[in-house]
Amino acid sequence: MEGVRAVHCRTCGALSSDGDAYCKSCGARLHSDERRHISNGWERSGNVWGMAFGIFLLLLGLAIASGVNVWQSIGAIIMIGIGSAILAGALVGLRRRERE
Amino acid sequence: MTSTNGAQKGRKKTDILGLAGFGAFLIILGSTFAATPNLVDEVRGMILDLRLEEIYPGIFFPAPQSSFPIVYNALYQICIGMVAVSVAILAIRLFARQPIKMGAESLGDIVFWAFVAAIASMMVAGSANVLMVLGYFLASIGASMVVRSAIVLGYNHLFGR
Repeated sequence: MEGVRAVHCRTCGALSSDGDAYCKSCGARLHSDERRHISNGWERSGNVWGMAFGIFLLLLGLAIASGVNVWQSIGAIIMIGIGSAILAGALVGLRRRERE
Repeated sequence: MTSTNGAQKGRKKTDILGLAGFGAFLIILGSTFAATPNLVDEVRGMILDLRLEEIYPGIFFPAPQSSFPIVYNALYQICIGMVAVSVAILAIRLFARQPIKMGAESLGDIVFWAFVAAIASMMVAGSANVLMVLGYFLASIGASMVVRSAIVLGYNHLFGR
């Protein structure tokens, strides 16, 4: 298993690669809920950032199309965009912490 | 065993429908060029016609000086074709019960191509200036990202994932 981390199945002890979700021998789940939880957390924060950046681009695009001179206040717009994304990320993180 | 595992993992991660979508894009692109006479010359003419236009005081952006309805019309047809392909891919993903993330990506693609089709139709009608094209293009990327993220977040929130 050179180059690939190996894990032992907790149920039957068979060796599988770390990337596998289930044991090839007995079909039991190889990784704990904690690892799945971390992976879900990353995915969720990625989607929150994606949504925040998407809303920023959408509003910026609509402002440009409607003839607003966004260049004059581009610094302020970027600052508001980053601030909103951080705020959204913090609120999601807070909610996750409350659930735990 | 390692190489077999790697190959299996590689096969699992390949998004066959995404690849099919790219293939369909190339077919639509090729068909549009084949079906539209002089499209290559028109595209070349449009590129040669690009001049820097001042969109804001001190800010310049390349824009064609004349109108090229054949090119805009071809772009519109490509976008409509891609909307149809994305709808078909979304239907297959739903039918095959693929993960919601994949379905969200297809829906995001539909939104993006529909937005660009709307921009192209405005260009065909001659009612869009360079600022509007640039702005609506940015908005189309933003709308696509919002749709993708909102569907995954909403689904996970509703079903407690």
